Amino acid sequence: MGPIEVLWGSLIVMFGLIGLVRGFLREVGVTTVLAFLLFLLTFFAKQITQALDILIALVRISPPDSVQANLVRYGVYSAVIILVTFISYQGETLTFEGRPVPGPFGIALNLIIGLWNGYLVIGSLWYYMHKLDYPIALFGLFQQPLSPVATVMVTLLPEALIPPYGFLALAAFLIFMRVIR
Amino acid sequence: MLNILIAVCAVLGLRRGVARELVVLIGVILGSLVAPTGARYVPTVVALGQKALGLTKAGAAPSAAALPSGKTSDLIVFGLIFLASIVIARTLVKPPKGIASRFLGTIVGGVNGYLIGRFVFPRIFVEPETVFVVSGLKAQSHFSPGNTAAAVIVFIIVLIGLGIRQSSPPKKKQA
Repeated sequence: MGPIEVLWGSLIVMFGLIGLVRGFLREVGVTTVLAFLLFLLTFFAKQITQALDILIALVRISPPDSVQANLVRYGVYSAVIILVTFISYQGETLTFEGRPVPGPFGIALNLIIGLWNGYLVIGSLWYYMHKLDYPIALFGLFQQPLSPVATVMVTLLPEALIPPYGFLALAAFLIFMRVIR
Repeated sequence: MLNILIAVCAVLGLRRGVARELVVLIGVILGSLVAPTGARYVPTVVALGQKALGLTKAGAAPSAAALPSGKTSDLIVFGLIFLASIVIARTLVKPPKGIASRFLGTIVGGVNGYLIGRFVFPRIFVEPETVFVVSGLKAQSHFSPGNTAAAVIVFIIVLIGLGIRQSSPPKKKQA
């Protein structure tokens, strides 16, 4: 595996391309769901951590702060994020009404919103991986230390940068816009 | 600073076109000429205004500290004439058409910036040397993670709001 920041950037570019294809109005629906999910994950972070500790005790992994235990924790976080992302993209989605924005501005808008959604999804996965001290190293998929670029990028990940109320503000704004249209 | 002012005025000239900028140019020149004479009457007008609003006791003269100084009066008169020229240009002159109008507007805008600086700067920067003191700690505190996050969220919200506004609403089905 190459540097984590390269993988992270490549995946976000993929989301940008998906945004280009799907269009702004569909992508904004995904942003709404993701913003709400990230609000819940950050606002109830303490309770979620406690619940995961109980889960670790139930499956009897010792010690509770071992790499294996963190792998389980990370598995739960990533499963939730990936599941919600899948639901928000697949099938009947929360799409905003209207016609696509024409011209270069519309294309730029599709791309930026796609990239933003990628930042929220992939950035969150990286954030929890970093928080749990990279448990995927157990499979030889990651090697410390982080590069200087990655060290800076870690501070810019969604949950590290944006407080819970920031996500709530974004979700509330989008829901408001969806309702008034 | 003068260069920045000229650049800003040139950009505004590009947007507003040559016709509007010429009106503003007349305002700037007129303001520069009238301000030294008109400034004499500013303290009288301010004192009358204070009396009319009941800010001074009846019969008592207004305090000297409350009245604008000579240089401030100059700037007030110049500013009023300048603002009036902008309003007149915006109200009476049509917006620019074509590249030529915008190009010439940029040049005249730059000239306006120079003339404004020529009038204003000697009245603000009186000393031979003016030193601006900037607190590094205070400047750095503006770039906190919280402010960065707020800027990111505001940018995304504005972008999405703009996008939603631009995407025309669906046509309503006729019954």
